[in-house]
Amino acid sequence: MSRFNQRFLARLDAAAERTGIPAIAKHEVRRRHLRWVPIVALALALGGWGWGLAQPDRAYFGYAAISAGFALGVFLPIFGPIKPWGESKLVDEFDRQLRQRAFLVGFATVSAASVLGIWLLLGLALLDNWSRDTLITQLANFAYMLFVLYLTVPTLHASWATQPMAED
Amino acid sequence: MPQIHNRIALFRAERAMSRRELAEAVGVNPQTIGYLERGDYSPSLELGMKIAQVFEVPVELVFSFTPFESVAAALRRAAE
Repeated sequence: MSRFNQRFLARLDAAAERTGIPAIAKHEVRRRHLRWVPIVALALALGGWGWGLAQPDRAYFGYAAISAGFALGVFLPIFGPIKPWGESKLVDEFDRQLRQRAFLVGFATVSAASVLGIWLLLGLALLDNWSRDTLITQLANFAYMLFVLYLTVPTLHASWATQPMAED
Repeated sequence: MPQIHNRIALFRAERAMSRRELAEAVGVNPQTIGYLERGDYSPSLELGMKIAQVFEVPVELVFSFTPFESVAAALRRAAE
């Protein structure tokens, strides 16, 4: 291999290291109770959705807020207390029960929000005479908000249902 | 669901065993042993029996539906 290629590949490696992703891949991710991050993500997503409903002409601000909630929420399954299916680390019966309950609460929340949200959108569309484009935008915001709910509620439940346990 | 009381911490202290050692012996995470000791989690029958097996005692000596007598009270009663 030429010296140029060696230097080039070494620089590429260094650039990849700087992102921090290889470190996460190599080392064990320290999972922790995340009690406030999901609340902030939820507040952003619900606030953004509410803003979009109240101001249909400027729903893109709401979309931006939901996106901020999503950006936070996407890290919760990685660093939160719920161990995912297929994890290489030991997942014991406590972890399985915690995960089962957390996702049960999460799916129940998403289901309830879906039913209530659809009726709310329908009612507001009729009352405010929304155009087809407005309705499509609102439905997109709503689906995005539901996805943030799916990302955040299980971690929120698991983090508040148990107290952190120190090593002895 | 009734709470299940246990004497895991007592047996562990008696044998100078850390949570990690007990956890490795029964195949769970050390945090799970902590949650059991704190009463935050009720174990499966399998885990309960494995823990009793590690301590070499019957399972009813480690787990109970009623609170266990404190060591001080048991010693006082034995001295009488």
